[in-house]
Amino acid sequence: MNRFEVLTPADLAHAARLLARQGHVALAGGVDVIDLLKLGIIAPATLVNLKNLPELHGIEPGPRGLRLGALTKLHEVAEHPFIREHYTAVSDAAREAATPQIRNLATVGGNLLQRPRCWYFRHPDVNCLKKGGDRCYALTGLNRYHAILGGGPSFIVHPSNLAPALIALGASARIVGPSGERSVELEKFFTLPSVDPKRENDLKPGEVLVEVNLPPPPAGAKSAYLEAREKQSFDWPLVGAAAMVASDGASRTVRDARIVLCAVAPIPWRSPEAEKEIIGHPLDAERARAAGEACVRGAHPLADNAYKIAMTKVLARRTILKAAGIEEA
Amino acid sequence: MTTPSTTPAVRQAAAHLKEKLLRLAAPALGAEPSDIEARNDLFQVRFDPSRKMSFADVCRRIPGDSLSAEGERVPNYEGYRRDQAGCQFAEVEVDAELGIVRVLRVVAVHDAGQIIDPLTARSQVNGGVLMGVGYALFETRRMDPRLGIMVNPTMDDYKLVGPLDVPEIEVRFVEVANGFNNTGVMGFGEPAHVATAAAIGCAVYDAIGVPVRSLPITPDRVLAAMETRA
Repeated sequence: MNRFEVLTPADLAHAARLLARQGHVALAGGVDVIDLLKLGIIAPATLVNLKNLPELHGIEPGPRGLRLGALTKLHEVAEHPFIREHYTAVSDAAREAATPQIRNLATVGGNLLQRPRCWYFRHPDVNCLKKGGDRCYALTGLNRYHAILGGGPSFIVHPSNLAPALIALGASARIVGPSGERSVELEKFFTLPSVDPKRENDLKPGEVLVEVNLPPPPAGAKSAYLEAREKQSFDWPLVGAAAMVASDGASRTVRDARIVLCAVAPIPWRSPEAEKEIIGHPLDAERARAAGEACVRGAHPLADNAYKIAMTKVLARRTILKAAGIEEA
Repeated sequence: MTTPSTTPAVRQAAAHLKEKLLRLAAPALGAEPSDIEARNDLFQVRFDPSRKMSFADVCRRIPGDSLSAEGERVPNYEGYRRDQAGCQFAEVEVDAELGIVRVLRVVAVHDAGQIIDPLTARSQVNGGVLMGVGYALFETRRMDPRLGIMVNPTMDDYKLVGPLDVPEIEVRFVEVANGFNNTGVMGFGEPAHVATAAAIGCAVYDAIGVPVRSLPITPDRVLAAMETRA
């Protein structure tokens, strides 16, 4: 690990000025940043400690929705009664992540901005496309955990399971930078490798992800998140699915829906094809199954990850039905 | 192998030490060492129990500060079997759509000869079963064939069993007397580990109706095996 200094900025504007400088990296919970430092994947001269900035703290439920400060711990998201009731997918996703110890450290902002888990990207001896090299080794190498959708020229999957749940519930991110602030829909915040394989999102140098805002869920909306892992403890999802389903009580006709997949693409993968299968129809197991099929219609598996297609169909179907409160026969 | 390697020597040394104590007690009791019986806290003449001394009194006759003796592990006695015997059972639950296997329960029944310390012996089995679950379901060294590197060399990527992956483990010892050494203790390092993956593999076969022929039994392999079902 390289030598570095830690600076604690006086306020948010100061933090933005520091982060605009070369070799300055933001530090929140430190879960991913310290790993990347130890692996030698980043070697910043300075870590900018964001933990004392009041604007980044707090969970604020209200009539206009929910504000989650970027420094909110995953553990707090998982256990908050208001989030559990109104944004169930978000608390479910937070509860599935990592381990209790990590959830007590890891932050919402860090979870959204964490770098991919790709074993070529994380290997100190491999200079892959994401690190400025000339190729994605996963394309022709070992790719059981890689993308089946949206891949190319890099085939990572986005590791955040919180992001699909937040996107399913219409979240936006408030970002403060050296030249002011902006708000961006979380769905549009993440960027495909075809735009730039070296990054996964639209955060510019000097910008700080301050908070995530969730609108009130649509009337009659319920949500759920499910994921499949090899291990039940401390493992990354092979596939995850978040669903928001707003339907009329008696007829079960779906008025609005969002289906967002985890770990299948380089970004949290919203599936309008799947949403189309259920919106305007009374929801039942057959409809949910059709939505699952629709999720993977455009999938291009690599040599080792075709199993993810079968998994995605199942998880999308189960998550939609769980959100809608429908028991499968 | 630590217990069967060390306990025969320790037991022999203890026997030699006992002989030295009997020789110290003999003049005071007016008897031959071979006529004295040492039991619990008492040294007693076999044919005249009224002639006796306490262990503490015998120790007072030790010249100097201490008494020492040596022992060694002699070659195993012929004519006895020296291998452990045991069997293990696994109960698994397979999510037939996702291919995910969870081990619910492992029953481990073993004859490892005389059990010296039941707590550590049981712990040895628990540890063997845990590593066996990892062997069956998770652990593998993934090598990139072109780069010649292991791509999962970290504790994050190399998958070890975590708390939620641990089955209920039931350990039973069947202590069959065995005279191949002077303590009847057998080596017990590997049996619980080796048998676990096989039992899990058979249980998965029983659950899904087709065998998965390679370890680890990951979801992709379970799904692929199930596709071969008629």
